[in-house]
Amino acid sequence: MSTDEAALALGLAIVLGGLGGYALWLWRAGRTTH
Amino acid sequence: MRLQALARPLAVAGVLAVVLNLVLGLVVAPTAANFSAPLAQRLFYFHVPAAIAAYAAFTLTAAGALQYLRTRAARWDRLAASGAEVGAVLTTIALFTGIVWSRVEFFSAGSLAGTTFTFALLGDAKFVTTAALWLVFLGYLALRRNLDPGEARARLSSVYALLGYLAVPLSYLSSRFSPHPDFLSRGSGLAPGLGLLLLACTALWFVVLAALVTHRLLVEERAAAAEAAREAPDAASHGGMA
Repeated sequence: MSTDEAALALGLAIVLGGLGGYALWLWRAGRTTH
Repeated sequence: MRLQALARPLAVAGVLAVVLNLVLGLVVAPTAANFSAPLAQRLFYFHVPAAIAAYAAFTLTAAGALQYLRTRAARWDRLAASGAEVGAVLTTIALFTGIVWSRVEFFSAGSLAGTTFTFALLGDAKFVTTAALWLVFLGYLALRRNLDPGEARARLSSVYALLGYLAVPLSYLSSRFSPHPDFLSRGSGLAPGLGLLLLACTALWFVVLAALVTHRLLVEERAAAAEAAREAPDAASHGGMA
């Protein structure tokens, strides 16, 4: 894997991990405060 | 409640928006040959919209804070808190995708290969002001967490949010005073087709923003209703859910 490919993969991991992790946390918080 | 009715459709729309953004950024967007790192350049289609959506989220916070100070209605304070948290998440994404992209574009393969990365990053006014914006709103969230819910917390955090909001125009305008690429201004050199693509991605991130703020607001409202029920159990038995 080249540095360019690795940077794209890391960037996408930040985007999807950030959004996915936060959405999952919101979903759980929504369930526990229901 | 209306907000509750919006929650599920917005969640579905948010997921679809992310998938569509991946397709636009990774498949539809042409490879930019004039970059040292043409693949990592595709991170623009996530980095720029995330930053703009974060500015919008903090604008919701400022609007909520202002409305709270005018009306003293707790729902505006809850909107402010929701916007700040979602904005902090989006700024985290914008900051770190930017760091990854610039690291490979300028330092690993590009014109500044061999230069000390951290030092150069601190010389970028856009990075510094956006990191400051991030810290300001993390401070806002820390402030709220360390005060008991109530009018005093709402009042103090509203004033803090309005002062902190000054960091938004500072971050937005700072690209004029730094070597940071500014793709939103005229004459940025971005091909018209790519500008349109970036605009479409930004619209998609506004859908994600709406979904996240709505869900965060629902969590806030349920927590507020639970708090009210704890304080007045009799009133809660007649249904005090937000």
